[in-house]
Amino acid sequence: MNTAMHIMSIQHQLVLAIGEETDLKKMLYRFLHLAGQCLNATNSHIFILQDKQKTPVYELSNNAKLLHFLSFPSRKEGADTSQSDHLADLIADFIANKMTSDVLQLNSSFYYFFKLDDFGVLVIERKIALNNEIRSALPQVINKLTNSCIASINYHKMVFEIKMRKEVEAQIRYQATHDDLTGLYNRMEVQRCLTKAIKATKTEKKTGYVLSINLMNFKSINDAIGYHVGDKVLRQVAQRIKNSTNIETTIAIFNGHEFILIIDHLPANKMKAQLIIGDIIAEIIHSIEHPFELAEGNFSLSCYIGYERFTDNSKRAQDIIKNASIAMYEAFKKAKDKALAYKLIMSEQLSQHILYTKEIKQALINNDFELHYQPQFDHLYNMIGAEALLRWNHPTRGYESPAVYIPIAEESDLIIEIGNYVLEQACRDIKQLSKQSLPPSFQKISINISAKQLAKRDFVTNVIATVSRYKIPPSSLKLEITESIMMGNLEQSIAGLNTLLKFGVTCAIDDFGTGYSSLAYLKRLPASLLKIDRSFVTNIHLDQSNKAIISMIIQLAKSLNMEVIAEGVETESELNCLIELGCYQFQGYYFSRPITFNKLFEYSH
Amino acid sequence: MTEASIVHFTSSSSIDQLKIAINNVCQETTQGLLLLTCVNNNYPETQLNALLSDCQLPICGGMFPKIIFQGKNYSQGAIIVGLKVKPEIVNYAMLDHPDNDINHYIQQNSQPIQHFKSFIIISDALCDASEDFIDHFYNYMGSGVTTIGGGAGSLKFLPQPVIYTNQGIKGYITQVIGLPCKLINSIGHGWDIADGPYLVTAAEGHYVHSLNYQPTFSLYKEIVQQQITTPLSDDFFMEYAKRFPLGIVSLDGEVLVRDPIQTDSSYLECVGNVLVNSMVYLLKSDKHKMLASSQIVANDIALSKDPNKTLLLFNCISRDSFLGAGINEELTIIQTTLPETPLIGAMVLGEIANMDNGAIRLLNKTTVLGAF
Repeated sequence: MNTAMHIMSIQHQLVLAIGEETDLKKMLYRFLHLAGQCLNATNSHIFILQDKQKTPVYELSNNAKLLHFLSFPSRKEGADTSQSDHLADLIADFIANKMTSDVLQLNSSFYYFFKLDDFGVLVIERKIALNNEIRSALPQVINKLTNSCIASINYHKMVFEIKMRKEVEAQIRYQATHDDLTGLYNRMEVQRCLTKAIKATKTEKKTGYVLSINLMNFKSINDAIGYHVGDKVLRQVAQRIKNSTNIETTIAIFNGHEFILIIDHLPANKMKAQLIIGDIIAEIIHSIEHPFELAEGNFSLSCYIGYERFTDNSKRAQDIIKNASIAMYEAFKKAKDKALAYKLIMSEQLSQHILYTKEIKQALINNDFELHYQPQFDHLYNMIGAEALLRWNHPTRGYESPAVYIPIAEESDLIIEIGNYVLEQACRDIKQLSKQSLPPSFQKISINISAKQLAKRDFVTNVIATVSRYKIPPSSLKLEITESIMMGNLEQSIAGLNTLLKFGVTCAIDDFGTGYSSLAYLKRLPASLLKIDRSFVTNIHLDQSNKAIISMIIQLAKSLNMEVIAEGVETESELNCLIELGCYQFQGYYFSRPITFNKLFEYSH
Repeated sequence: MTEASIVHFTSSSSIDQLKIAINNVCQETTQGLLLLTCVNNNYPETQLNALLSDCQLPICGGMFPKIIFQGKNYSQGAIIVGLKVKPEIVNYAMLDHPDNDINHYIQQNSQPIQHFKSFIIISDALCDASEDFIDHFYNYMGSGVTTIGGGAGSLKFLPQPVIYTNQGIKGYITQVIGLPCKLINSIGHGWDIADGPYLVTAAEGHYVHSLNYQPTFSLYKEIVQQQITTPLSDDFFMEYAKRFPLGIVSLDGEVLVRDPIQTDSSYLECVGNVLVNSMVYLLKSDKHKMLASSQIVANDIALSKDPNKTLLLFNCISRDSFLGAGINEELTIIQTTLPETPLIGAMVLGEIANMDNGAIRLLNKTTVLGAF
């Protein structure tokens, strides 16, 4: 046999097997497989340094161990070679001897050991000893194998790092476009999706809708039970919204519990599209109102939906979403329809609303609010007190109607600030009045208190502190509340009013007869005065039914040991009729319009 | 101790005869059926599938160009072997898997036979993937297993189902039969080095494109010419290729024959892979050497201390074409050396057995004798 050629053939075959393969395991599999053929090996094994994650490494470190990596064939006499202690011991002995190659004859086998630098060992088992010429030709192959292993490990490391980087980038991308909690798209992403949908809608000559869905009562779940339950509910809501239609939709969440749903590829015909969207909306409302059954309990929610249609790219994505939200807000505000389509007037009203809110804020800063007073009289025309009425003296528009700005202030916390101003100013004015010798009939100034104000935890302490600060008699201040406080936390309100009553501040129930108060609660309120609403008073002498109502209110007040005062008395006939019915306190144009403090000051003297 | 298998032989190509024989064997105390039949029987496929599906015993085996029974070979007929040991049979679909996939595929499907050490492998000879499969199968089972087997199919190399299974006759699969008993084997071929070595400078799978940087065909013609006195014509290949195969010689001198079966006057296609950078030799043989090698194979088995209850021979079909009428002499030599057990087997398209180093390889022009 031509030995030189045989050596060359073996070297080249093995080197070719190593090749350019970047996957270490594949490369070593080919090498060991071919070693079996070229070197007539019975078994071949590779041990390589591996870190704690069993990833091959070629640099020595405390965390790296020389472990079995691959054998060909994978088993010997039926036993898995990777689990062979015998083989591991042979390797350990070879390493301990600090040789680069060695041969060992054990039983009927010859074991040839070759070091792969300091990071690996190749073992070739044969039945017959290798001749020296072949052995001496192998180190060059082993050298190539060593270098290829290092290259593969480096490549794998690089690929791993790139993969990790891509994963991190993907995660960042995901986080940037999705809501953490629900996995739904966030505001940015839904805008992108909508922009695409708008383009497609125009190209395909179709139509689409954006729905803004806002959950009612959701905050109470978070507050009362905890965020972990609120989170579960949100996830279920998302699923129910998705399941509400078979049409492919895009869903997003933002502002905590406002869902945005894009439904596109709908027919261009508005009627047809409206029918489809109507069904979907009905299904969403129905599905959300179905109780949520969780381990922590059953929860009921409802929702309001606003929606906006898009057909071409005349409107920007963010405007369409904004419009749907405005429509949703309108539905919520009116509380009549569960879903409303967007109309341009909604935006105009909202803009005005926002502008107005800003102006109210500015008015508070500029001290543009004033207190005017409408005097109150008894049947003998003695002034018994006055109701403080807020007036906004706008720098350009003059006096604004409270009917416009009070509801707007009520929607925001501005009503609290306004209430604080009224309390402060009224106490200041009472102080001012008290310095003068008031007629003995003039007993108190009353101010209006909003439900929001009353619900504030510090309301009672604030009233007491203000009254105390101005050193006015608590009995000189009366708080007018409406029946609407019944809608809030009634127990807390009653407790607060009782505390104030003990302190000396009394209260009156304003606009009585127009609300939906329960008479049982009325009895529990520590009020000393019922104010009959002006709607019953106007033309009472001509209206038998109003006469009957007022008569009943007077009887009711008597039975509850309360006084009554009629508002809006404008004529003598009305006055006489009221007196006939047993009402002896009055307020209205017949006696006096609301007047400035200075005029009141003069009037009372 | 392993009991002798029950052997029924019929020289008939009739499926009815096959059915009768199967029924007879099934009535005996047997645990599996090994069927060795001739492709020329041309069994109707529908009837054959019904017959196989109805059988309650595990079925294995294949259709071959010829079958061997008691020192003779037959182009028609069937051998029905009732195995006294319960075979565990796995049929592997021969898919064109990348390495990782095929390893995984073998691992997933080999659970029933993973603790066996004795195997008969019958592959569809038309599957190029069989050789790769055998390599990976060996990697999975490991050293220390004993294997015999061969390629099923016809000499016409037409695609057709040729492997017997309980689900019917199948093609494009490799069947591994795990035997729960000791199997011994011996291989031999009688081919010696005539010339070489030649470095394989370009090859792909079965195709050898160049030797010593020259087109394989022209070099092959040149070196064959050196072996004979008659001038070779351009169409020498069909006549001389079966007399002068190529061979790969292991480091320890073992010769693996690679039989050239066709050429385009540039490359040679062999039965089995030839690797780039490997060395090949021109081999030659004669009737005397081939028969002598068969004698050695038979002696090997006879010398073993194990009882040889079943003798199963996978003999290369090219030995038949080389030896001509002499093939029965070869079979007789084996049978007479082992007279107590009827010799059964098949002439196959590529043989399968362990080499000296234990690796399972696809062989050519070789006699593979197994006993269990």
